[in-house]
Amino acid sequence: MGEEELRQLIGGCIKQDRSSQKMLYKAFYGFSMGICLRYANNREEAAEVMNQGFYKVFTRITTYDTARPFKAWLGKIMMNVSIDYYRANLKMAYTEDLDKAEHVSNGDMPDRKLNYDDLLGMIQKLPNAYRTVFNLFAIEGYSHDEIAGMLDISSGTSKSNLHKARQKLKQMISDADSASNNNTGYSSGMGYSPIVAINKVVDMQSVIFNKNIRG
Amino acid sequence: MKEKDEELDNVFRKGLEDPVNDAAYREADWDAMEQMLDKHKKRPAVIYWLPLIGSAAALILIFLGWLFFKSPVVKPEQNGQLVSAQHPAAGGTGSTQSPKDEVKAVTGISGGPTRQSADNDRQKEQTPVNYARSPDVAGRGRKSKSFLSLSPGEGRRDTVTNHQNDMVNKQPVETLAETQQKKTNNKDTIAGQNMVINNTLTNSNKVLPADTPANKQATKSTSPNTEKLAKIVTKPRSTFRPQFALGVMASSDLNGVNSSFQQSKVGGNFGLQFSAALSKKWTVSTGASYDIKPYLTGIGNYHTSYQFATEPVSISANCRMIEIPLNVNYQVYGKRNNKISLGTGLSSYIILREDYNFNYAGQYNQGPAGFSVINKNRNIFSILNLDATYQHQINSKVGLLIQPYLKVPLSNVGESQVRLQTSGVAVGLSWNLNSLTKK
Repeated sequence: MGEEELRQLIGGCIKQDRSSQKMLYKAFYGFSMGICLRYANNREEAAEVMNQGFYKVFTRITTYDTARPFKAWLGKIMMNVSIDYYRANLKMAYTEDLDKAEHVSNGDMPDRKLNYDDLLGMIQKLPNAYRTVFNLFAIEGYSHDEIAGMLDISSGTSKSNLHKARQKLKQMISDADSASNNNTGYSSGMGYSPIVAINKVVDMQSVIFNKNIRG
Repeated sequence: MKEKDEELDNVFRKGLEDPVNDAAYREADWDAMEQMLDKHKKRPAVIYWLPLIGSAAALILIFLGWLFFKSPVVKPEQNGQLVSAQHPAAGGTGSTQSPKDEVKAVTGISGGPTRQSADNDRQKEQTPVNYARSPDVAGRGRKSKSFLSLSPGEGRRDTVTNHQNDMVNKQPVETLAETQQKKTNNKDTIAGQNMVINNTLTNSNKVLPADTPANKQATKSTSPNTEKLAKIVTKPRSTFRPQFALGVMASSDLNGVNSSFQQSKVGGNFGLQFSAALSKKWTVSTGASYDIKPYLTGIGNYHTSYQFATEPVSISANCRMIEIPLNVNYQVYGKRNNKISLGTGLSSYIILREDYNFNYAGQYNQGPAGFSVINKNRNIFSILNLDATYQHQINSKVGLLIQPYLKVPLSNVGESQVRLQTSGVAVGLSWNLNSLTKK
């Protein structure tokens, strides 16, 4: 999508034009869903959170500074609504016992390249608190102090949750490797298929559309 | 170990940054999105209509309430006037008053010892007719006790109407001897009660009937409980005080027929306006005004079954009527002491008199000169009011009103069935009724 086309869509959204809103929604659906899926337990939750994010986009579109990249603004909104959505559930996971995860060796990384679905499936298997901190630290690049402020937790808790998240992920990778070695017919993603409901019969037009935006 | 952690992070960061396949677009997600947008979009519309619906409902309630409460209030006022007329005002309700004076003080009828005379003359012709007719008087007159004895109990009534009726019907037949004896023995106590009453009661007649339970109670107690008295007396103060305002308006206006003011004549009106603020922005108002509406119109606009031998060229009319408006006003500006509001509503005309004069082209009359119709026609809610009101609040009680207005007929008016349109400017003063009832 070109800059001019994006500007027109944003202009339509400012006027609350429904067709413009839908086009913008479809254009950034994949991008937004990609963010929300990382924070959500499954596709349905991700879609719900994503819609809340788009609702904020449509109702606060007038506050968007056109001098800044739209995707960055949109991505920040999606991240924030994801955090808001799970903030209430974060404390429930803090007490989770990770004794088993502590025994995972630190040495081995996966023998093979894990694809997107594998990684997303593992992320989604993490408890909410660990997943959120891991997302913010490892993928978004925030510091522990920043995460502590965003999630209203202490910096120590953030570090602890990150450590536990890594331990769990290592365990999952190890398990995936074991399954792969034991089963020659193992196909990537079998053990940790994310509940993404990727439509394999992809609407090519949609894909191309999204790809253009992402590029 | 740190390097391993960073390597793990990199695996996930790079792997999740570039999905092999984007999550496929689902129309159901957009449907949910659209529902969310529609849901929040409709809310302002609902909010917009709520005040209108609420205003309409409140308008009806206030109007009905006003009608309901108006009639019982009239009776005690009439009786009060009757008593006052018999006994000119005498000063003071102090502790040195005679017991009869104290009785009068409790009645709240300011001025003098009207009860004394009323009681003395009770068995003479001066007794008000309605008192004599009262079955309560006939049946229980001698047994009635002073209504200063306010012990709660028998037959206490809560409604203003009942209290008022009780008070009016039973006061004249109280046994004076008993009352006097009691009060003589307890003059100080009674005087104290009077002070309590006078301190707690407003001058409103509506408050006074709170005393009336004592009328029904045949107590012989010589030391009424002052605390109970105060409690009973103050009870009505907790009742709802509507935020009403009363306005006196007068205006000069132009009256024309068929949306034309070219042949208009100057009329005028004066009346009372009664308004209630429903919220900060919305006000409903009603009232009554006496309108004088002269107008001139061609024969073409005049409707009659009479067959003129020679048709007049024009009709001069002069109508006098009572107008009852029912308006809703919305405040569009309000800062400091100045307010501007826009209003609309419907008016009813109760036409008292219509004088019609026929103007003929020739020098000599070939037909009737005119005729009059008295108290015949009614046009209920057939006039649309459009007005803008500027109000300048002079102080907390009084405000100045300037109100340009336009009255558009929704149907033909009067005997001649003309579309009589009026435009003018009203000027008046408003009083905050709520401030009058505040202690």
